[in-house]
Amino acid sequence: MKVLVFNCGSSSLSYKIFDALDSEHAEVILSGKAHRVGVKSQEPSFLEFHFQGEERRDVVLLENHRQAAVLVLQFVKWKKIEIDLVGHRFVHGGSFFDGSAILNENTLKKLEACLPLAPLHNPISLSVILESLESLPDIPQYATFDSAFHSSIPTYAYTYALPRPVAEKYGFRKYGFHGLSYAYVTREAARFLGIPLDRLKLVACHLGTGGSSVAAIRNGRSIDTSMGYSPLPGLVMSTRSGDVDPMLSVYLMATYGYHPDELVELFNGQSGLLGLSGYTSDIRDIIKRLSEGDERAELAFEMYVQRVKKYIGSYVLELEGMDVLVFTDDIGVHNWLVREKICADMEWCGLILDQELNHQATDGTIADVSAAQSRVRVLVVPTEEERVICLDGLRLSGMSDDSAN
Amino acid sequence: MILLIDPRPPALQWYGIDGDRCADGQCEFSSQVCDHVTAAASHLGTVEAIGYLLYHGGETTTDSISRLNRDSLAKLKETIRFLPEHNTLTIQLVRQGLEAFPEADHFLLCDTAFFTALPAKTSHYAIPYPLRREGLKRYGGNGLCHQWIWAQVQSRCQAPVDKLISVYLGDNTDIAAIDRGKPRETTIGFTGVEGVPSATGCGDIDPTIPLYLKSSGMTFAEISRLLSRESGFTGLLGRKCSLHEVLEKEDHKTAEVREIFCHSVIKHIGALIAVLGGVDAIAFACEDLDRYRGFMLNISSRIGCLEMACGINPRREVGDQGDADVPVHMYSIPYDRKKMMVEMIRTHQHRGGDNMGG
Repeated sequence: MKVLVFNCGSSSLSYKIFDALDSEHAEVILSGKAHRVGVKSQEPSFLEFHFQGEERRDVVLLENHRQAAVLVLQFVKWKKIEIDLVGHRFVHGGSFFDGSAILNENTLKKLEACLPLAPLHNPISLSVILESLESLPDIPQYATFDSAFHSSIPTYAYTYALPRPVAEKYGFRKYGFHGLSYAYVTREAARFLGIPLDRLKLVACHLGTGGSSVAAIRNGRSIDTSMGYSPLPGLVMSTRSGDVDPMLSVYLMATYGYHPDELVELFNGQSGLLGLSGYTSDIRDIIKRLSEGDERAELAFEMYVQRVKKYIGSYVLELEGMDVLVFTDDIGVHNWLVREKICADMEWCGLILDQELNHQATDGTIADVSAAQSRVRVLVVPTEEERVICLDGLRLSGMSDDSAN
Repeated sequence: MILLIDPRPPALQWYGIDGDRCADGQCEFSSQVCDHVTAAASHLGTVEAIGYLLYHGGETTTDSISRLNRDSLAKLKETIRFLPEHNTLTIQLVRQGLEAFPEADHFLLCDTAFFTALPAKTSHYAIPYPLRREGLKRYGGNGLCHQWIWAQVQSRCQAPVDKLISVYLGDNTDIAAIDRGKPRETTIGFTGVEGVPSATGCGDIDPTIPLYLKSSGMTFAEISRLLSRESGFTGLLGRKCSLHEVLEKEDHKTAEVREIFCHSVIKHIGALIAVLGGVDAIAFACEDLDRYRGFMLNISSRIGCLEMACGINPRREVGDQGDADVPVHMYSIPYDRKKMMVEMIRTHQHRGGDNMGG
């Protein structure tokens, strides 16, 4: 069975075609990514294809995600790949979806209702879904939701202490994000350690070049996570502030006359590492400046690290202990210094890093970087969201009874 | 007697204390405040000293207690923008007090002073520099209490306590992390709304929520009131509710609120331990110790997980004294805010110097 998977980022579109026999045997036969989609800048947008040893890179104007999807679907047709199933990543399924769903008139209506919940991601995912449905009308398609993995978060952890009628009217509650990544790395970690999922207390740090979050996972199920109703709360991210006093929003509007939309942009697009450093949203650039004694870089780096540590500390207590700490996504997998600083002074919860192993683990393979005497295993686990989407599709189509969560 | 003045705009709360005898009352602000208070507390004798509470001292008020004179007023005025209604009232009262009681000692008690020593990585928000320069940062609060808790633990502990998690339990619960007497982290941020949900405050929520509320047509005043006065336990239960009730009532709805509160406290304690890189003691201070004992036991047993997982061994029983054999000590300390302030004033009355803005 051939499963085409679309994974929209805010300015990218990743895609993969898996040739799957069952949940254990799914091989990638085509993959690629559209870069800088809809980004206005000097550098051009381009589309990559990796197919049967062939590497192709087309520099082409990509004004939006739908256009990128058209080109991918054209390439698939040109190469005569017969698709059996199409899976789409949809970031925020609100409280409508607690698992993947086949797309039909009914589910499409619900997707539309979810658009405002993730204004950066949901509309572009829907545009790709609509293009794909139009282009492949006879192929079954489904959506997999980042928020679904967090549907196991208990009420006391997802409830905001707001008046009930207000929370209900607007749907204010913690939803959480990066669920596909957490589902994947949790299973990979359990598999790597040879410990059944239902005996693991795991804290996972998804540290990306854009968004980042932390999740507390017990028995393979999420019990808390750092993002909230929107992806803004939690960690210091590339351009997102993470946690701030909610009264700050009120104060800025009342005192400085900000429009709410401007503040959404300010907190999501101009804050975080960019706001702290003043010149870069990339933690790697900030690390380069550390040795030059750049105070802004130092503050940005320290805050980035401390915020992650705080969430790990919270989740150690929420989980009543931690067996495994997982680092994933681009920064989590490739940046040893970030891991080293986060894991410093963590003996209190039984965590000791092996500096040497940690230093070596940057090549994108799964690795245990904890010291022999550490009670907590520290794992570097590359994530593969597309595979989670594919496996969920197999389950939906009855080819596997393996749950994605 | 010693007089304590607590601004609660538009009214003020005062306490007259002379040894074990005390009087208190509330009154609207007017030019006759001093006459009114002296008359009401006349049975406690003449006013020897007055303590004025300043809830928000901005970045420049770095002493928790400082002596006041006429020269202090100019510097005090600089703090108005941080908490306009409260601080304006405090300043008006200081001015009247200095005039009405020229023979008395006057002290400013500042609740944010302790936290002016927070490290930059804690006091900053990850927002653009121009906004941080405007003073949009984390100031903390309830500093008088946490400084006092630190001192109490030092006087009670048998083994040295360097790293302390200091928990004030009450209708406005807040938690601080203190390392060798210096603040390292606190749950209160720009305002007291951030942090643990309170009797009427929402605590940590997604900061985009006020923006959605504004877009849907609410005014700033309405949003501000919603988050600080109509949320928390009161908002969740749909009626006025104190922490006592939340911890004691058995019905299902209250139990749910209790879970939300416990979850927030546990979460913040964990975060603060991580900031300190470990913990020697956790101290709870509250006005009505007995009513909170069950809650403290619950929290300490949940922290007990660390014993097995990490070799940390908190005492299961919450006692008044630490026990030298175990790595993490739990303290419960009876707290009387008025008494604490009177003690601070008494200690400082006999000291010269440290004038505010002199």
